[in-house]
Amino acid sequence: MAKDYDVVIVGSGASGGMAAYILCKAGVKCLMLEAGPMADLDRHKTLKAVYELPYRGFNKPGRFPHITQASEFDANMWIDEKANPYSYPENDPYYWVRIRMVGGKTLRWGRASWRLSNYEFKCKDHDGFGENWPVDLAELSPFYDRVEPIFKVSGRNEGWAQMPDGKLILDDSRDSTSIERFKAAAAKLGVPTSKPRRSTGTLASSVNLLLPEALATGNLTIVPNAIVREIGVDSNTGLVNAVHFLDRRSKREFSVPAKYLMLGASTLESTRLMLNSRSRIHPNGLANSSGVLGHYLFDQFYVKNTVVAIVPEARGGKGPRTLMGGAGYIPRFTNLKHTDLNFIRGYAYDFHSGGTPNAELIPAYGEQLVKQLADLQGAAFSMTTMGEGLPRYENKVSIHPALKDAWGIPCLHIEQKYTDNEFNMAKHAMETGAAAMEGAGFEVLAKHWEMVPPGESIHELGTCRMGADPKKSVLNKWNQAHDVKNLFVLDGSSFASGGAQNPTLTILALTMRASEYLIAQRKKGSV
Amino acid sequence: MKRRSALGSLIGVGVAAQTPPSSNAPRTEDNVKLDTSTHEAVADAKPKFFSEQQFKTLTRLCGAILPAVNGRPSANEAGVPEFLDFLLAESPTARQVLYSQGLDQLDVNARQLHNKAFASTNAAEAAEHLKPLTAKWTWAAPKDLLAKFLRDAKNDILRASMNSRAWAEASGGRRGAGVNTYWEVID
Ligand SMILES: Cc1cc2nc3c(=O)[nH]c(=O)nc-3n(C[C@H](O)[C@H](O)[C@H](O)COP(=O)(O)OP(=O)(O)OC[C@H]3O[C@@H](n4cnc5c(N)ncnc54)[C@H](O)[C@@H]3O)c2cc1C
Repeated sequence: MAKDYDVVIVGSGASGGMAAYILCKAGVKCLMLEAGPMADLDRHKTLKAVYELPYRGFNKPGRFPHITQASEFDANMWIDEKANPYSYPENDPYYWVRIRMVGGKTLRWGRASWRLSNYEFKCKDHDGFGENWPVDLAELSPFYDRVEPIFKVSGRNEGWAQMPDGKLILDDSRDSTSIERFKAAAAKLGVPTSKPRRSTGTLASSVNLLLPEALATGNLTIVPNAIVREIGVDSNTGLVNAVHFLDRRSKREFSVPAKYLMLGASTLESTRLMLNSRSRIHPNGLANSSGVLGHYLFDQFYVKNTVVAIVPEARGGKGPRTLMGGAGYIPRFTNLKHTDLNFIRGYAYDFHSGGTPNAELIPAYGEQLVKQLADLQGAAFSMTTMGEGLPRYENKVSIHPALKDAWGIPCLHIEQKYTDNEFNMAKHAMETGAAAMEGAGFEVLAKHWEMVPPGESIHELGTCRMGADPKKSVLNKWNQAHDVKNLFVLDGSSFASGGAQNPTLTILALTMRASEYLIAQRKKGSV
Repeated sequence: MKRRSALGSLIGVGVAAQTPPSSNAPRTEDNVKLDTSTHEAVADAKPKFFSEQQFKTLTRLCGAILPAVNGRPSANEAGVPEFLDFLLAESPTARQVLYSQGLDQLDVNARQLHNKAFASTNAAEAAEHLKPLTAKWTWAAPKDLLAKFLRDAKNDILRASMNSRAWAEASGGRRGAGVNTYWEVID
């Protein structure tokens, strides 16, 4: 029999997990519906040698056409692409990377944890493109301040406007001398450098940092294997009144009443669900009177290993122990003031000292190759570029007219293309990175500016954006739908722009804020 | 060259060495872990994909790309041709075509230039056909079919060698092989 919950939460990743964490601790009874299974980390994780795997670590060919991150070790963790298809235009592939499991993608994320700055929140004021967010850094800072300690983010505050300071575990580790040299060369080019900023701990997932505390309140019920397929609305008010879902294993259908709904199914899944929830009162999809639901899809473009160089003194393992090792981060530095560059906005880099260059980069084979690899062991210095993709109306998702997943739920058609702004930025990143490496006295082994296909950075954002104007946005500044006041969309689909920073810390802060807003409004009886 | 760094070099720059996480459930009397072997270690796999001639060409190519050096097994000792035969049989058509045509092309070139099969070439002769592997790296795959095939084959041969049981045994056993966390099927 259907039970009575105050709030239904869809998804158990960063956004769903944080919603449960805040709401349950405030005494709100929550039901969490999660499409994937619950992993038993003792039973489902074992140690294996790569030669024990049937494909020697290559993975079953064709199993993951779009998930380049999947290895044969963790193959069972990623979404089954055959059961969960989507489409894209023939020549514009989109790589949609998903994990369906309690914990979502936080089971596997890289944990880079950056705040957005007012260069993102107030981007339109700055360069005239796109829309401002209806929130700014000052409003979001108190929430970032609380999220960072939960995720034990380490890093270094620098006092830079484009890289807001945080409540960090101070990383005051000494840089290796190769990093010191690189930093000095970058500084000569006007390029700032800092430490990485990362959530720490062995897991750093909603599964260990958010859900246990929420469960401990007795206010959270998690139902794994519950695939939400549609949101029901009251035909008079247009408000959400039910959630319809299926058992992933048996396909049996269920419905549960919903007073408030918080969607955290991840960027494109939440939008898919809303587009699939058409009704007389919401004919173009739930809360879509603006017509922008599905539009303004963007992400960060990645140029992996933009520049790979060799630190000459490290060849043959000859350098001192303090020469190699460590990593760093370069925040956006372009267009902070007016410039005449051929692109707007900017990009960030991750850089690493150490490791051996990929054998592919070495123009040799046989004994020669083995010798060179031995000589270069531990001598590599590399940079990866993460650039801001611009939100454009024409980059969008829509419901495919025929394609359905294994549960009969209509699938997405995804259209996203990079344009000259991103291409010019990537070329600039390559040249600047190579100049910094050369300035440091490193030998550039390879450089390129070709980005991975859209989606592959796993920072898909937008399609249900927030904004001050209900005609141009789906959500208000509280992640609450303009049209449907008991619906909140918490994940990255709410972003109006994204900068070059990894988005999860902002997803967590926005969710914390939206959840507390809901608690306050419920108390007042005004939602 | 140590096993881990070699593996890292194939996977890419900056990849941290794979440290095994702390052990799973403690071993007790009723939680016994028995040593087992693998199919490849005890039996010959049934050939599935390459023709006899292609297999010979591939074997010669494996010998050229990764000979036995510094106490590590060669690609052939690591059973790479047999493994690639299996992998290719399961691969998407485009990859199958690349391998088939690439191997055939090597053979045709060798017969034209040296009047013998690529499989019978000596080191100097083989080197003439493997020149594309000494070209500077570009992000985009080479347009020339043979060059593209050789680039992919080089990566596959190295990876399949270093991920083999033979390589692990030469690198200190199971741990030397890059032990990692494996996610079992859930459900
Ligand atoms: C390899 C990797 C590295 C990453 N590195 C970083 C990084 O360094 N820094 C960073 O900021 N971000 C990183 N990310 C991205 C980060 O993981 C995501 O931004 C974050 O997890 C998003 O949270 P979410 O709640 O929106 O979605 P998710 O964490 O994906 O959770 C969504 C959940 O909703 C469930 N769901 C989906 N559809 C339905 C449905 N219809 N019904 C019920 N449940 C549903 C899913 O099963 C999933 O569990 C990385 C991701 C990956 C995979």
